[in-house]
Amino acid sequence: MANAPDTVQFSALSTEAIRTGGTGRRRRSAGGTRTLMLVLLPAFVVLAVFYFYPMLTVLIAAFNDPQLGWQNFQWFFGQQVNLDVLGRTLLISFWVTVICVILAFPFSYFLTVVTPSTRSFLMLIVLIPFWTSTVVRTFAWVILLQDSGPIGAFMKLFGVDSLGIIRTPTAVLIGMAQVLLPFVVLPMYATMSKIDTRLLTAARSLGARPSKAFVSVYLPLSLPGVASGALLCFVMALGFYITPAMLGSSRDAFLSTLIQGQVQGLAQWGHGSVIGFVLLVVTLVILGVAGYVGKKTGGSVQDMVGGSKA
Amino acid sequence: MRRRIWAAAALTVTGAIALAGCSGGSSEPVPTISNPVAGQVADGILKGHTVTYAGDGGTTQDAQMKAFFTPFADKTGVTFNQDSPQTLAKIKAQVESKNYQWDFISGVADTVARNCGTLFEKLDMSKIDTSKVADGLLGGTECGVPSIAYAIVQVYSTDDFGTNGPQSWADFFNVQKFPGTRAVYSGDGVIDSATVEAAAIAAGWDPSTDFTADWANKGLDEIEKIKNNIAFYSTGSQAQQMMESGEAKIGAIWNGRALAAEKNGKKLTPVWNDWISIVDQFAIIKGTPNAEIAYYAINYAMGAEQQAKWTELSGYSPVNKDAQPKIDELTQKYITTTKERAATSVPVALDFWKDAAAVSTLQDRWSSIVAGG
Amino acid sequence: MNNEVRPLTKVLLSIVTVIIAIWLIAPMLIVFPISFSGDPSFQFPPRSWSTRWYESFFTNSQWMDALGNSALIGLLVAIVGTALGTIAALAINRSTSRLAQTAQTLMLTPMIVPPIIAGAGIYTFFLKADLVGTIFGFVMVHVCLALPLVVIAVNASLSGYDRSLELAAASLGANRLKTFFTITVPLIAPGILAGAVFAFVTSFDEVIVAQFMVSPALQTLPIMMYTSVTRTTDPTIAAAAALVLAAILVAFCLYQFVVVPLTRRSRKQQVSE
Repeated sequence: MANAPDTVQFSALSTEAIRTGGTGRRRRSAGGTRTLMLVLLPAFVVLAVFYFYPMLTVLIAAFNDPQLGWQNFQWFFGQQVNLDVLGRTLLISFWVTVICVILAFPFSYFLTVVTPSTRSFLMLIVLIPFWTSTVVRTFAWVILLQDSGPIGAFMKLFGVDSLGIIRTPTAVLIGMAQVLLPFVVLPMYATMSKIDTRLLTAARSLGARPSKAFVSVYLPLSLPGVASGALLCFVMALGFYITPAMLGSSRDAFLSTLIQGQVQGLAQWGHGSVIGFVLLVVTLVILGVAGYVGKKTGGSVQDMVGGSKA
Repeated sequence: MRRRIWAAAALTVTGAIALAGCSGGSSEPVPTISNPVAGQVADGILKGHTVTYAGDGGTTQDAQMKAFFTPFADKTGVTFNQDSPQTLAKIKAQVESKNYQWDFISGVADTVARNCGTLFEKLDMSKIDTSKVADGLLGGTECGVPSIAYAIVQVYSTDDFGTNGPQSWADFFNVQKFPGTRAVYSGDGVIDSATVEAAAIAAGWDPSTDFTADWANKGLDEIEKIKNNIAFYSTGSQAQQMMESGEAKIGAIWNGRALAAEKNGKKLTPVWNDWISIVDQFAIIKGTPNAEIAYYAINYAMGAEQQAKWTELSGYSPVNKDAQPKIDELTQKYITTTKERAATSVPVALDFWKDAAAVSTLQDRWSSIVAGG
Repeated sequence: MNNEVRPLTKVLLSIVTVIIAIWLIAPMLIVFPISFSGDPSFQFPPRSWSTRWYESFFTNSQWMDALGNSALIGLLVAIVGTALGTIAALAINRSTSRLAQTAQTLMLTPMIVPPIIAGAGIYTFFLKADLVGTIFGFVMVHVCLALPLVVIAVNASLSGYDRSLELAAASLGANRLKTFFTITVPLIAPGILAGAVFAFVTSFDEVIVAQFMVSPALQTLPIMMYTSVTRTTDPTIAAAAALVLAAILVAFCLYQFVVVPLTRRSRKQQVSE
């Protein structure tokens, strides 16, 4: 089993995966663009037919269902509830990201200071929720957080009459944070593992206290990883549907829930599509802004997912 | 690596062809129905044919299968497929693309009524025996016959209120007199006619008069007034869980779910004053080639024996007045088709709710209350 | 590696880490007691205990078929997706063309765009193409959703990959194909493997788009679980979830306590030889 990818390699790869990219030295390949396109053809045919085509039909419906025109957009921006839900989606996604970053940072830092075997163990711990389905995880939270659940019973001992967490934004935050934490830990760890700790030693030997060395040397160096993780978490949170639907009340609905309602229950493709369109635009704007800011500070959006730096 | 791709591609293509090939059916035409009798059908008459039904899913659909459609399939030889939920968008897509995945459904009466003629067939009533249908359940829409007769009834937790619980819809919407979280149906995206009518009663609507958009708005006002005390449920099982866990102390829920919660040990008291009578409909998808088979199935489901079994399994009332279900006291508590119950019922005013234009402005207001901050 | 953290800091950090680790795993363990509940209820603690939900799961052909379908689809997605994604990642990585960056972003779109948007359109598309409820259609759509993860995983492997090894092989006389299969593939194998695992998991757990692709004849496990939780109060989902979770935990323990020590031992043997 000499070639079995051991846990260290495995986990290091998955962290590298989300953070860095293929930075193999550029090599002159014969044919350049043409070979590239030929080789990519099967993947793109599949993507085009089975993903982009359906996606585009939905987005186009925003403009021409039931008639060609802007009426769906007028409807969207005319209904206060749509704007409220958009705001709520952004706000809760923001708070989930904040919570995840705060929790992931010490966790990731700890990963860099332990022995490799502990590290791989902890890494797998992080990946286990990733491998259990969202439905199962959210279901577990529903049971735990319901008023008559174990946490509620536990709190009764302290005189708390009704727990009142289930079907509130708090429950949604807890559930979503657990689902998204792995996605923040991995990029963060990937960056942190590359930080040369001799810099810290150097700072200390120059007279800085350990805490000051940490704040002025380590933190700035870890920032790209924090940023990638936060960005990934935020973007994914925006599109969530199951967790807010199961843990929150209908008044905690996300944009995806609204789309589901319009499309499934009311068969109003125009309305559903325009909500989808807005959600997509918001996501792209955020990525664009992050990319712009990243360029200014030397990072790159591509850092988030790695790959070609052409 | 390339070899792997070819192997996988070959696998999937073969699989697809095999699956596609299995969709062939019998080439013999289905014998036309004549002189239908509810609950009866000739043996083996539909052998070689297939029909697909889409319903609410869950325990309700399980009961429908056990009481109606599995015996139906056994008797007629038809291959009976079921699916859930009966998503309206899917129906619309099927009708537009003429690729019929479902043949008939059981759905909310307003939705059937609003789409009568466009998404659902106007029923040929000579093909269905409705002579034994309980009073007051028929009519309302040309595209449906009763499938599930149930109620939105106010229930409250007996442990929390004892004998001093709310007695009317006005009480339901009075949070000062009766504090606590209320469980209300979110309509799962669609405005719920029964809930709005209940709220309108609380606002002062007299059910013996016509239901109008004005009263609908007054009802929505009531709901909006107490929305911070409302926990919306989007499915029956959520309502049941809310009442069982104590998250909601009072609820406007379906009688079948109240029964299920009581069976799980939760003590509830129903308030039958002005309960809203709802009748879901069997409806046939417009244009499906298996419409005739659907008529057979619907007829069979309406028989006395089948309806008795349905009640025994689901706790919902039989639509056939000759049905004699053997049920316990607890189930009897929630039966809605007795004379005593019928006297205090308020039906959903389908004449109002089938007008799509009138409903769409109310729909936006409903969505705003349900999803809004 | 850094070991210059003060002991106190290390202790504090380890406490925080342990708490977070518990929070990540422990909640899911609740499905175990619920799966033994005697009532069709999610109330905890259960009024009575029974194994009826496990019986229900194993004797119900719907659940078993769904499990089989999910496993089959997941496997096919892993195979097809890894193949397509690996080739694509390699090609993009090696290319000097500016198109490569655009190609990469396009390939990552399914991970970033909320799945409901494409899912809604897939039903209509499938109806027109008569693909509803077919394994083929299902696999193809899930391959699209899995491609971003495969590309990312393979990219990660490529980033640590030393191209001069290929040069060395070439200078020893190996042609490009031989170099590819004997040098490149084994070295990026961990990335490919990781990608395959991610692809399988993505497909096995997918609900949002799957709900537009299922049919009475083709149900998947996550759809059954989601319907089970929202539309019924049927603890069979707890039994199903408990079994899946148990399988994952067993695999984890096996890997951590059997495979890893074995690998280490064999490596020690190799070194000492």
